[in-house]
Amino acid sequence: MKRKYIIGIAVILVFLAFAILNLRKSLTPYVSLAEAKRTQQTVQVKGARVEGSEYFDAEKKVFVFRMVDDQGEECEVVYPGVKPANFEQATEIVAIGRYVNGRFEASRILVKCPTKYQAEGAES
Amino acid sequence: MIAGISSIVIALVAAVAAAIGYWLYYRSGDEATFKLANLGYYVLFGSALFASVLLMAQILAHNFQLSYVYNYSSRDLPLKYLISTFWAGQEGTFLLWLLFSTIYGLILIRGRAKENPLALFFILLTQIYLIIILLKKSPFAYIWQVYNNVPFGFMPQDGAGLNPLLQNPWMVVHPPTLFLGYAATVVPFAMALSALVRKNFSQWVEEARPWVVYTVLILGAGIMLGGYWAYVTLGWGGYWAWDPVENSSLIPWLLSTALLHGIIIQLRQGGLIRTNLFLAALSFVAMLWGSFLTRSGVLTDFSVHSFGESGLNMYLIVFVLFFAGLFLLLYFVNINGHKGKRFAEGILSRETFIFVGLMTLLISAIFTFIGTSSPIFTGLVGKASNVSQNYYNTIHIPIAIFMLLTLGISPALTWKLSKISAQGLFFRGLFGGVVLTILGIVLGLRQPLSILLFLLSAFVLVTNMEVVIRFVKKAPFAIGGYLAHAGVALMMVGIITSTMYDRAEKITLPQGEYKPTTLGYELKFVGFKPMPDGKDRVQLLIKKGDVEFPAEAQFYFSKYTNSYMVSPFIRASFVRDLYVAPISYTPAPKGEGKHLTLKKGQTEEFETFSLRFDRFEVGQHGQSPAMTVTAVLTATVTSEGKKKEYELKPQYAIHGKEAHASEVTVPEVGAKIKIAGLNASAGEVHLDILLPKKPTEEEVPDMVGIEVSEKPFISILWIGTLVTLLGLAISLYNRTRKPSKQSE
Repeated sequence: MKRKYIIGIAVILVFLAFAILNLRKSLTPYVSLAEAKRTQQTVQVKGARVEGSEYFDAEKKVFVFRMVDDQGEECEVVYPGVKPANFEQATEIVAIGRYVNGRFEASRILVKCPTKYQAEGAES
Repeated sequence: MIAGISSIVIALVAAVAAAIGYWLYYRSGDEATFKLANLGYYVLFGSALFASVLLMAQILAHNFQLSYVYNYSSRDLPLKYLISTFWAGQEGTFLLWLLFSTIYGLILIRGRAKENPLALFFILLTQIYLIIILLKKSPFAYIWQVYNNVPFGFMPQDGAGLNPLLQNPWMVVHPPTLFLGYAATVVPFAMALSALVRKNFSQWVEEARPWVVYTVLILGAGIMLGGYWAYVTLGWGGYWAWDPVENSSLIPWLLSTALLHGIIIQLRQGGLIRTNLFLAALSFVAMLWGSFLTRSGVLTDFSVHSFGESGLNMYLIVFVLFFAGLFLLLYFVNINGHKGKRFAEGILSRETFIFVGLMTLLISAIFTFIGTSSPIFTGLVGKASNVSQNYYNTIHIPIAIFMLLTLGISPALTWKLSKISAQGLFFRGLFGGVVLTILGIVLGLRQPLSILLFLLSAFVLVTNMEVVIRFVKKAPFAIGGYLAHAGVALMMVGIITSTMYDRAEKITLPQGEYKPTTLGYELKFVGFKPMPDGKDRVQLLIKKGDVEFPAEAQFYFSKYTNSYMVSPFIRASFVRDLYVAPISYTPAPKGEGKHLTLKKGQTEEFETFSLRFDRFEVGQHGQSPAMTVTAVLTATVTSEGKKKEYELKPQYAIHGKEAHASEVTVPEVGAKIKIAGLNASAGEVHLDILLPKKPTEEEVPDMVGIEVSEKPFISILWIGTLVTLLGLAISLYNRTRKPSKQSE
């Protein structure tokens, strides 16, 4: 009987350690561009695109644009892939990735559009 | 709307009266009180039903005076999407939740309520909460009660329309199915609470079992419908993204499934009494927590499709805390050292394996919960942080391995004995699993992890299907569990092949030209095909080898969401799905745009002509109410050595706050000129000029960005979901038959 509990507890402890390590590794904090430039970590930054700055590099197959955050900090963002859907309509762009060699290398781009899903101006 | 709000007020009074009635009946056992309480309950149900029918009728009648109808529907919607309007907004979903919950109560009244009125009492407590929320955020509010600037009695011509994402046949069935499941979690929870009050810890599990099977079935069906909907309509290529909205339905499902297995152990061996009480409470509270997360707006920074902020945060938090607190209070006051029997006899017994399976479900729920709530927890101590999908995928690898091991081995085990009693079954399963895995490797399985998971899944499939086939004649209703587990194995196989072996490529296609992809397909962007409903499509031609076929994918601009709406083209087959989704559209530049400011008498030189601003002419069109300004321009065009002068008169009309500018074209050159604005006192005009393309310039066609991908054997995933649901349905049928005929 005893042996079974020891095995069970050991398995659970190993799993816990594994899960916590993973959690720490994959936590991506929301930071400003200035902070993103200081760290090596994978982070999420929120900002707006600089209008007209985007282009598609057909040779490297990357999409490049400049974004500016609410503190006015600007940065070039490189995203492997084509222009994300609804890029022009975005009121806000979230880039997830790392700042490397003077550019932000995004692994994911979330494009937020002004939706009417919840009516604007409603009192709550 | 007075009838609607009155019916909700009546529902509140009736619910409170019925709750008091059931409590008194529980204390006194007086039959007359029971009948009165039932009467109150019928009034509650009648009011909830009336309110629902009324709301539906208002939606169908396009009564846009109601804020809800105005915000979520419009005249052009077909009937099926008018029906979805009912649950397009939060107010409607709360009403739907209340309606389903009251129906479940009715079933209890016809069943065991007389012996156990307390369960109804606790269900009524949750319903009272829902009704209070419905009074606070009423689906029957008029627009002038919601918006300050709308005059009393105003009737809008048309509504704001329904979110195009919800205008999909799957969205007609997915949300109500989920809410049927959510609402059902209250029944086992109420039964657990009543067990604590009565200190009778054995009876409730038997009563709750069919409800738990039902919850697992219906909530599971809702989740799977959601995944399928995401796959066939959203166009990002997957069916599950570990989004907070998805997780908040998965967690109660995992906990209900854990409870289902805990109940089996308690009924067979008398164990897990306390665990089961907690699991019943956790599945209900997790469901409330999920509805808080997705409705409160706290995760809007982290989710692509949460509901917006609702102003209900306090109500929802109190809702969660009240019922969690109520459970803990009753638990610690009444548990009094009640404890399940020690049930596990050695490692290789059926009960040990069911318990390990239960633990994997519980651990999956806990870590999914931690990940989903991480922005809140990390926000409390510092920077709000989100976890990536990687976190969920990675932690579920060991969970899946343990889960598959238990699912595969347990059919070969027996209760109370620590040995593999059905050795034939076990080894045949192992053999079958290995054979299938070799076949898989021949077909292309390469990554070691995928081979391991595939082997385990195949093993689970073979052992469970053997039991199913053996039982199907002599005890056809006992196969439910085994069939459901076989379905889980199939789902696992489909998940492995479609995600670990999916190949995708994003390419940009110029109009009218075939472009190759690394997947072996050649694609050509043909053009746009306008549709009568405005949901235009991108037309593509796809070529592979000698086969050429057309592909149309929905891609149109929605004014409602102010964004492009995408649906993929899917060419489905058993072996693989070809998935083609438009991503972006770049129209060819029509020329070079220039912005220019000219003072009176000033001349600007262009390559092919020059432009001079002479003067303004104001108010020449006296009959028009609008103020019209005309700028008189002189364009000098040089062609074949001769200079020609043209007078151009672009106009700028101002109607109230709106301005309208007419466009003029410079003859011969083709440049288009429009007034962008003017400053009359300074004598300045701002012009937008579009210069035509030079013939020497390279023609740039319209471009679309497309993602093409191949998902091998994703069909097995869908087959697996159907098999699992069928197994659960058989199980539910088995548990709701007359007790004497039940088979284990």
